[in-house]
Amino acid sequence: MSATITPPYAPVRSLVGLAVGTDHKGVALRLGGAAFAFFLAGGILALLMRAELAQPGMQITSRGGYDQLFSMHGSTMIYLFVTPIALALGTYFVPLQVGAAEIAWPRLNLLGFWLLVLGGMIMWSGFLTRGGAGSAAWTGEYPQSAAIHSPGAGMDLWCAGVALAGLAGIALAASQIATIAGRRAPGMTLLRMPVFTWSMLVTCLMTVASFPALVLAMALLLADRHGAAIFDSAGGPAAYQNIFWFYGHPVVYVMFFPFLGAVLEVVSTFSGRRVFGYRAVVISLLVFTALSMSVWGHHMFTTGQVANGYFSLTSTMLAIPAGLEYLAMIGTMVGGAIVLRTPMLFALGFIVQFLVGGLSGIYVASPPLDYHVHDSYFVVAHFHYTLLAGSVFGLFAAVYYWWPKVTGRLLFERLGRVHFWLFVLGTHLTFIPQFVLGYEGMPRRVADYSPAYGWGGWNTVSTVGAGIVALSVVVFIVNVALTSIAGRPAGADPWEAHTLEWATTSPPPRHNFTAALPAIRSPAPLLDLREEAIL
Amino acid sequence: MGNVRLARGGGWECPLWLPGTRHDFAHVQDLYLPVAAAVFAVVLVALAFTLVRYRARPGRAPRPTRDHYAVDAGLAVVLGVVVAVLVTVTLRTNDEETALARAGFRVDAIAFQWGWQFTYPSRPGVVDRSAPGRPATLHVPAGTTVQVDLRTRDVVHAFWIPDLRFKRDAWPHKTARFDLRFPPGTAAGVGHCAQFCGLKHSDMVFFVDAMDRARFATWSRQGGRRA
Repeated sequence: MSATITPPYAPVRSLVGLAVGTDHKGVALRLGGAAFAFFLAGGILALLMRAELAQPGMQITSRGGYDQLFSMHGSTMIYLFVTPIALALGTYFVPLQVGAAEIAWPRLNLLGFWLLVLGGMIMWSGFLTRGGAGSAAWTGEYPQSAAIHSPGAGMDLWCAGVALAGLAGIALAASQIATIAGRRAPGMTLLRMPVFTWSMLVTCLMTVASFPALVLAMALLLADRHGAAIFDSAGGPAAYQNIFWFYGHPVVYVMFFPFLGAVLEVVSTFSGRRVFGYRAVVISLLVFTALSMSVWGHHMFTTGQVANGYFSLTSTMLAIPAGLEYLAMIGTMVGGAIVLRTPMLFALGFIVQFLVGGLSGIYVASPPLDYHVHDSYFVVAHFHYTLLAGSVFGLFAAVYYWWPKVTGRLLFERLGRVHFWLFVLGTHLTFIPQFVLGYEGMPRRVADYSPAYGWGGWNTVSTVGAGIVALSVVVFIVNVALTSIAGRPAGADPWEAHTLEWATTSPPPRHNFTAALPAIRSPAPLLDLREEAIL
Repeated sequence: MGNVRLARGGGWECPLWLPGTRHDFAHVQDLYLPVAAAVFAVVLVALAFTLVRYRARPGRAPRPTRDHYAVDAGLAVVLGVVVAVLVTVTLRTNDEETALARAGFRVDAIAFQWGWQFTYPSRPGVVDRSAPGRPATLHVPAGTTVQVDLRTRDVVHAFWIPDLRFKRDAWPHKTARFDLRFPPGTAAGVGHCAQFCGLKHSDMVFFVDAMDRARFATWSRQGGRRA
């Protein structure tokens, strides 16, 4: 049963290799592993929050404890899980997809991994301090985050950790941009790059354009907390929010595009067809990226201090490129021969569920609607539909799709299906009630609510749903463990895929390709080969 | 959707013809929800049809992809029109909702960690203020324009009355001025702080007592004591 997978090179298994190995595949695996560990940690915080909220009254933590839970849950998921794991996917697959032997600027890339791990550990070490971890939400809005309102080392550690995670993103993104700019194989023109690589290019462009604002916000906040009085003025709090959200909205698409790109690859592979409207996808990604830099004010509609009309217009306009992306996903399937393997199931989950997040996003982009639902559980449901029901489903589509490439073994199909359906059930049970609760008036970031509101029932359902999501993740971990013991060897290309990473061994050798690359005449060189063989 | 109520009284049977934030919200939502539902339905039906029709079967090869950029362009135009309609209605309604009318009654609201204080310029000496374990009550006449001047004493808070479908932030060093209209008749409701503001954010609740003409007269005559 257990077949041995022999990598065609000697992998670096020493501690030194783990610490300073610069192979982009090793860095990506370590980064992805660290991000997944943070996902589990942030998930445990979420379960504790849901346990506290299941019924009115304080049962398992204090108000101060709860503030740390939701602050660190959001911070962990955004800074330490979704963003880095998205960049890890690119770190692994961009060089392979463009036919490069190595990532550009490998040491900068490695630095990105270390900054992320250090940042995460610094942020989490806040739990060891006297006052606990950072507790001014993942946004650290001023003056709630000022020294006088959030005293203690935990908040300082939070600022430092977030700043390092931001720097990590810049380093990781820069080396991917450099790889795409300078390491493409002969024949790989920009318009022959696979859609996933395109999605990583725009992701990394947004990262290098917006993450410096985050690092700046954190540096200024840290200085302010130690007496510099930077934001302590009439315009200071709004200045902080503008700087923060200048990072904070593009990052939403940093946490979305890589998974959109992966889903397009999966849909294309499991339909047996090239992506429909490839150039329209590229243009829509670029339009989306450009717009993403001018929508941040929609987080500030209720502040009365931004031009609501302008930001409502730019935010709603995102529906146009998003619509083209949906057309590409469905258009690729039309006329295909669709095979519903686990990666495709997760891709379909992404398509349907992200739509709920996207449409509710258009809803909250309207100020008269946002005046009601802003900072309520409605918004919590909205962005979890984009991030968990959308991006994380896209992530698992990518994981099930690329696992055989990375490890040489196929994850078990049946466990994958159990994982998928449990995840679907849990996600909707968790977040549909939150739409209702928010609409009915439940503010976000509350540790408790009065029994008089009658919110206990919906909250209990939501908590049960969170438990089912956790169970589905356990199924995934079991699948990974069983696969590593008894997984079926994958071979170079188990899915009959289209892009260059499937033209090499699984896992790929140290410098990615040993044989000559196939001719690159389209974004799907392996499909070209198969079609030529038929002719 | 049930409205949020405490045990103190009934909710607002809000007639939608009454101009005000709740009316504005409903006006926009009545457009957005059907559009969202239609888009969701179209995508779902297209996806379901595709999955059934183009499921892999023995002996059937996938058709090669032909790009139809006219379809992409057409969709972009359709979506552009939809966006234009949505944004036009949003911006018009937003302008109406945020425009200030002649105030029938004025309120000075102050948010602080962790409670509310309401005073009324036309009723000097009347102070409704939170005490530990006892939320403040906002007293307003129903059926007229209530103009609120909202301030904070410390961090950012937000004044949210879910039944009115409206909230506004209170920012340090700034005054936020907005109009609210409470439907005619006597009603009671609650308001929350929506912006996370520290340890007792959860407890930053206030009651709303919207009074009809007779009760409002009694309340005014008695100098703000219970009407």
